[in-house]
Amino acid sequence: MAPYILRRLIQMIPVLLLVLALVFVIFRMIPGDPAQLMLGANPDPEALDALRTKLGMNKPLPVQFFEWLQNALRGDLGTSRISDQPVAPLLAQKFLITLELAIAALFIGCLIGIPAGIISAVRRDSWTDFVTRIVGLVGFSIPNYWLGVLIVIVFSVRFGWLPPAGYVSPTEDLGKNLRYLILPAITMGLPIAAEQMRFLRASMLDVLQQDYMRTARAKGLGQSTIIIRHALKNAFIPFLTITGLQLGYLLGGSVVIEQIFSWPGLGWLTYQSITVRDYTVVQGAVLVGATVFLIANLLVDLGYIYLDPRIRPK
Amino acid sequence: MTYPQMTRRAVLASGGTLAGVAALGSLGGGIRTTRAAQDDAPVAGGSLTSTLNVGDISGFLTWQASTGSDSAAWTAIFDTLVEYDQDYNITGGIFESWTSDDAQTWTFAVRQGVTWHDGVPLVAQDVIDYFETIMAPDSGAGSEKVATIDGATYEAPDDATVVLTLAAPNAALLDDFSSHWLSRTRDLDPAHPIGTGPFTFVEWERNLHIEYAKNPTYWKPGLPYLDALTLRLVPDQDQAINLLTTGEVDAIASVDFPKVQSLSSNASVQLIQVPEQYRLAYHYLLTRTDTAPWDNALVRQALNHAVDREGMLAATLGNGSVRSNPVATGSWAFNPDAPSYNQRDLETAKQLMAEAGYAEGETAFSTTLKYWREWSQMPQIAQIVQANLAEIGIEVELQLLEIGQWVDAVQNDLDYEMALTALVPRWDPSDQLGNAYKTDDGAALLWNNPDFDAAFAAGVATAEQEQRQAAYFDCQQIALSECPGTVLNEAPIFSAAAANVRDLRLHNRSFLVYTECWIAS
Repeated sequence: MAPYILRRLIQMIPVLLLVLALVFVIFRMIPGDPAQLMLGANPDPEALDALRTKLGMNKPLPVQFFEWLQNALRGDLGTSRISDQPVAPLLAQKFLITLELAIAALFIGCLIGIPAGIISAVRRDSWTDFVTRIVGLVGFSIPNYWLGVLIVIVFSVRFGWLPPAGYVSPTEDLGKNLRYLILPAITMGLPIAAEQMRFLRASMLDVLQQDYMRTARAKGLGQSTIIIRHALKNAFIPFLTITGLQLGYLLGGSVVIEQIFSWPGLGWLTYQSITVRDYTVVQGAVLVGATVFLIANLLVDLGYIYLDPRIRPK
Repeated sequence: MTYPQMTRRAVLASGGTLAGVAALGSLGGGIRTTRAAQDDAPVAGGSLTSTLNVGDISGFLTWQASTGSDSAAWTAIFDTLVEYDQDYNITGGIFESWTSDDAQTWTFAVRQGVTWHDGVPLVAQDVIDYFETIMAPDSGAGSEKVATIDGATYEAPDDATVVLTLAAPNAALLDDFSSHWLSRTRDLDPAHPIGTGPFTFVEWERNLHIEYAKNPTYWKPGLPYLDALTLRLVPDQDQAINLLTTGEVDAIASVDFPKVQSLSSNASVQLIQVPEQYRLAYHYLLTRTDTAPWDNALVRQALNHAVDREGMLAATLGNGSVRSNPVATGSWAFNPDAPSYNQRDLETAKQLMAEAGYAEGETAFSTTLKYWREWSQMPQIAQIVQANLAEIGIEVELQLLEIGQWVDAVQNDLDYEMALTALVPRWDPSDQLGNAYKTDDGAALLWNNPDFDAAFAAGVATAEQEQRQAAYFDCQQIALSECPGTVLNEAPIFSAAAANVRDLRLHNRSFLVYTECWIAS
């Protein structure tokens, strides 16, 4: 197993390099010179040139990229061109905030999606299945920015049950942290639940029609044993794929949800840094996002191996 | 939305960046101004949570170009070299007093008894260090701040005096200094800024909040009233309004005009505006005056007569005021006799177009208008301009750009025919007029008029207000006859606060000042 993991980790390197290089080039093609943004209107050309030199912007793009990469390998992602703060600790702090939201959203998604998918499959074509599928379709189709706004209007503005937006660190006040967490987690978790339900239902239906399921029933196994031990475990492989991808997306930070709920995570930081052309922060955020996504994919593949010994590497 | 205030001339804006006004009044609901009556005595204590304009600040390097959010965050920690009072008269800040006979050599008395937040006394050398930082070639200092002292010599003959000799007389120096927040640059730690201002820095967590505590040794007696101040960083204005109406925050820096009506009927909220005579922000239409057809003053005058400013006022739901002069009506330099285009005059516009050689009833020419939409009224204003100009035969194609693209296209590349933006100049008339018409204050306009330049230079070169007024009257007469750029009404700016918030001042440069704010029981 270890050589397999090592091989997969090595395979990530060119992918990461390609993503980083693409973002590096594309971001610098966006109109808006950060040096000029810092200096304001009609800057003195000498001052502009001096600042561009200080920021390393006068060097050729490949040189800039490889210098950045060299420093990144040493764990130095540079300093924010806007706020003069070191990027690495900033990203670490924001990643943890996003991680909390991602885990909560995924938890809500699984809490609703897995039972709904199982019930819907087991009671195929019943009214329960019909209602679950309709709700799932709606949940899957609703844009999360609209859902987020709706949830805020109902639960915060109308009923005043939960704060509309904000964040308090769990180390500072866990109770407040959870109050702020609930609405964004639900907003992100519901579409996840809908997607999981649909995948799990389809996968379960496929498994339930297999011969070995008939054998299991013929052996006199109970319904719950058949569903949980035989059907669910096999149906989990495609489900795991979608969940892994969902986790990757969530950990990259949701720009929209984090903004709607003032959740100061990686997504909002990335968006804000793009608007002010804070190259170093964006580049660091892309590195974190891409790495997390690739690792999530690796974990999914390892999950396959756990669930299905047939594909275990020799 | 925070977008940087990329240029003073061009965009002020940055995404709804404008802050609102000050909060006053003892009862909730309704629109108030900073001048509203305050009968009850201030009460010390308590804390206030306010949002900034949308988005985060750019840091605490106060010599760099600033957004409205930066200004609010900096004003809590730092003092400016001089200040404006609520009647927009210059008053002492770090500089307690000053003398100058010729507006070129200035002697400033540094306020005594002031200490930095770490207890170190403020001395004149701190100001010299700040000037040195600005002038360092790679400091990243904002071009406006560099321009203030560019070519000047400065010295501190003793701990209480700064002598500044400018390269040329500048009567607007004090106005410039009202935007210089003094930080101690010799041992600056951007993560833990130290100032002399009303609040001490506690924490800045990016995209979350900035926290401050009361400075118990602040040099203004009895101030600040608040024990603690938190500036919440929110990315969206609707969210800020939700936070205010649910009691999560006590004040919000800006309220877009479509939300004004619903908030004004909320008894627990007070809406605030700067008194009309002191308002600075306006929408501004640039025209390329160096190439046809906008190089023809008759066409530009026709444009000014053709646009329906009353209609634009309706587009902002009656918020703001009709305006065609860049100088605020409350300024001593406002010329009431300068040409005004406040009333639409379509017949005169058509006549001017005919004089310019464009036959009535035919398409005169086609042109493009580039605009950004970080302020919600911008699309409507662009559309009204388009419709109005169609009536005098000018076909306008609207081009919506992201704000960074707009700056690049219009300001840097001069790739435009017409361009719509918004300006928030400083209070001195040199800045109000310079922002609008001076080419060396913004290269995009490309208008050169020796008579205007001479009058403008005369206004800056003397400290005598009567002479300055006469010069600026001339400037308005010339510019509003030639119409190199077009003022399209005041840009309405609001902020809001909970009903029990008092004396939260909105500066007319669109940021909230918390120094005198207090919470009523």
